[in-house]
Amino acid sequence: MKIKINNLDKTYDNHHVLKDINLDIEDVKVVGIIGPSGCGKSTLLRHLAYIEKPDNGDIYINETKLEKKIKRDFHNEVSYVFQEHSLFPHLSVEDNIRLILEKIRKYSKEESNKIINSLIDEFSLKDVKDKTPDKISGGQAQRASIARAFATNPKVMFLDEPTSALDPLLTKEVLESIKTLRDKGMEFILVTHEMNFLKEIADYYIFMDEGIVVDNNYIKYMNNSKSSKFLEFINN
Amino acid sequence: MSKNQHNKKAFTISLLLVVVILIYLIFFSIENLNFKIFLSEKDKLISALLSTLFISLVTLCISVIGGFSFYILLHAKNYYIRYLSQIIREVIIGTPLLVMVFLVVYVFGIRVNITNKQALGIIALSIYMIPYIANSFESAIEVITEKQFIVMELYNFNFFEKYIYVIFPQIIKPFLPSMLNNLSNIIKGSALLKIISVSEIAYVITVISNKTYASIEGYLIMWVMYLMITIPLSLLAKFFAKRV
Repeated sequence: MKIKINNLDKTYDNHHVLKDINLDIEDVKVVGIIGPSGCGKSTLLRHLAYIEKPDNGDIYINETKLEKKIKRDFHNEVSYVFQEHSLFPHLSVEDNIRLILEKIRKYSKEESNKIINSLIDEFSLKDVKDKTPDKISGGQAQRASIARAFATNPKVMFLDEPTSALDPLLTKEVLESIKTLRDKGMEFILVTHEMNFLKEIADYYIFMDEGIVVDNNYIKYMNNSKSSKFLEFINN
Repeated sequence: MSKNQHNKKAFTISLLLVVVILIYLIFFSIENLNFKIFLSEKDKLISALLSTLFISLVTLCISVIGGFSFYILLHAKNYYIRYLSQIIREVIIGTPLLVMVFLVVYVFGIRVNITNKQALGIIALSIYMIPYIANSFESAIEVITEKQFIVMELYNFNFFEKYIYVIFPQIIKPFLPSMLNNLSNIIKGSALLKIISVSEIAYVITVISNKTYASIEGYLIMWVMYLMITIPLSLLAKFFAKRV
């Protein structure tokens, strides 16, 4: 995966959230965005997923410039997982996945059944597949959200602190699911607070503070960082 | 006695009290009331009742479709369309139904050469109700979270897919009570169509009253007939509202 960002700027109501961000990253599979709360990491992720448009600057993912004319094609190739589950509340877990596959992406019934059955097994959702999100636990719902995001076989998955609303046990379940997908070759850009998980799964990190990228490098060089802020952050 | 039983008892007593007051007002508050004249015209009254229900239901159908379309215009990305719709909404909401009926019948009707008073009455009522129904859609759609809209955007749902698969199934419950209340308002509002001689409840009763000099009896019967329709609707709306 290649990510290139030129002079990215975003302001909300006089609050300058992203300040002249420039990045050029190549040959990475999993990129982790880290930093203290309110530093702009989720905003950067939403821009990389083209959920939001920058005030200034350009973003290129795999050499494709994110702009209106490619939005549809780009979104067909990516998936996004939010901090809390994003299942449609009126549909069961299975129907949430089926809606996307059959009605929106026009997969055949046989094809979608095959995908749904394999996802339900893989994400241990058998017991809850017929239940609506309000009848299952937060962890199960988040796992179902990841399963739905994975169903369309995206090239890149965006994860915005997918475990922040979960207890440690459920966090472990979700992180295991993500690791399984990484091992299958899926590419990720994720925001996380879990430093151990980041070290285990990511091959590149972007450290942000107060809307700017303070440090970025391959994970293997993490401990050689010259940024005292970053070292302080990872050691805390 | 449990709280539930206590509530039921209080409701039953209140209902009986209201029924007694109604019976007193209808049969005993004024001397020499003669309802026999109206009983002999019961076929006309039933036909008027059916006519009122027909007008109201057709109006509801048109104004639900129109209200939804108007809601879309009120939220259009184009600022001109959005502001124009907002101004039209304020103009319609500020217009008395009586004026709306006159405008539609004697301005619009003459202009487009429609003489069918019932059709014009339905158009007037529909135009009058459209902004209210649009407001009901606006409130009901608030149950759809911003995150769901983002998910639909990410999966490239088109306009119809958004509404058919995600929005409509979720807004039916919150929309239903307000739709029933709107139906009740349409039924009451349809009484004004008597001024253009549409043979609904109010018009037929006025005609019978004028012929027989039984105005008070006429208005009492009219009152009861409207209550017979609107009270069950209101209870139904409350029943659905509780289940939202």
